[in-house]
Amino acid sequence: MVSAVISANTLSAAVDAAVRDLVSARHWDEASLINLPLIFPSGSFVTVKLTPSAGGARVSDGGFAFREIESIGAQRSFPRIASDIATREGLLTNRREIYVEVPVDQIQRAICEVAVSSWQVADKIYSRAADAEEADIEEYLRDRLVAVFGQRMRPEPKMIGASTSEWEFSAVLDLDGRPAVFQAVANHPNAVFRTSTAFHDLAALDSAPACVSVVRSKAALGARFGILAQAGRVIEEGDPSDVFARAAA
Amino acid sequence: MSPFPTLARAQKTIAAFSGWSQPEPETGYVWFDAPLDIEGVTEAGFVLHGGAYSNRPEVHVTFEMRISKTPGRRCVPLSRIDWRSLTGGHTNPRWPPPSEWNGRTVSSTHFHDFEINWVPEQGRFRRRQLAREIEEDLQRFEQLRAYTGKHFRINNIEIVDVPPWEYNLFSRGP
Repeated sequence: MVSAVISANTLSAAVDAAVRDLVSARHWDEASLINLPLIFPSGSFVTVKLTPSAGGARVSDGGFAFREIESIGAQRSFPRIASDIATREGLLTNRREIYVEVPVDQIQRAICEVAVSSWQVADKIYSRAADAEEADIEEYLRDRLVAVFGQRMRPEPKMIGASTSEWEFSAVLDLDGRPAVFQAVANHPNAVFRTSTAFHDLAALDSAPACVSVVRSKAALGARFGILAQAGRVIEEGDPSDVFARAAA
Repeated sequence: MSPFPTLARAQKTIAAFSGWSQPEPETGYVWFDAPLDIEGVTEAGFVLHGGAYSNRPEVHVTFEMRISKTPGRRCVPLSRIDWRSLTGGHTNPRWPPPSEWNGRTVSSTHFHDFEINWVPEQGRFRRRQLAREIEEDLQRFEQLRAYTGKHFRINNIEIVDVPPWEYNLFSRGP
């Protein structure tokens, strides 16, 4: 029992220390900076900046979401995406920041809204970077498919699944007797889950097509490789032509 | 084969340092991109990026080695050093292992070291980046700059000027 008490005390101290560090504020001459327990894709904490304004306080994200996406060269996406997200919360944007001016008795809510919006902007733009990877694979994939199978691609790469949902893929080929569906898949959860759902829907058809995911690297997918492999065949974009042919068989 | 390890590990020289930018009106952020040479050849899009806040002296300085494929478009960061970051420490993902830094939060001065984020057998970066503590006590910008030069393997980093910090009675901050 003694050891349990010590252990509990130790845990309480660790919990107190962790909670203390989850939110921290620093005050400068004219500004306060608050680090919040929301984590940007890079691993930095979302940070909100407060300065005095005519009506109370100006609460902004200090341009930290912009800095976050600038690191991956995606800063051109900031104006539109930040504006879309901020508008939903009644916030404003400029070239670099998400912000709002509020009476002092509303700063708590404003801090939360600015912080969440700042995080959403960075997260959405990082996710889109993954979509760009998918487009790169897709472009390469189409060339490979023509080289391996000739001109057998359907002009409209769409199929209807057992649920009656219509799905669009990177390519649908009419091979001998049954179609083959190829989908370029980026290493991002959304891309993997979308492909998995679509392939499961096609697999439930009476005459199911061959379903093939094309990825940059199986090893890089980690645990998500298993999700894709349950739904269909998986090959790498750099595999030799005979692998493409066997996957479509 | 990926060129990233070669670029990260090569001895480099700053080809030209044209100074820090003017402060952004919205945030006071100042920055520079200095092209990097390897054995006398300026590598396309390969730069040392620096960032700081003109109105926040002696805090929040970032040095990053990055490859900009096209100016203003997507780029790939290879290594980054954050000094006294205003966003606080860096929290490392718990997964995937193995790294001694998994799940740990490091202080506001930390190093996104190429060597702990590159997965050589797969020829790619970890999707969620790790940062490690910096073992030296970097009290001044000049010390940070020298540390960056040593670890980024840039042999003339002293040509990077001190950021154009604006001091006032309170600007040192906490």
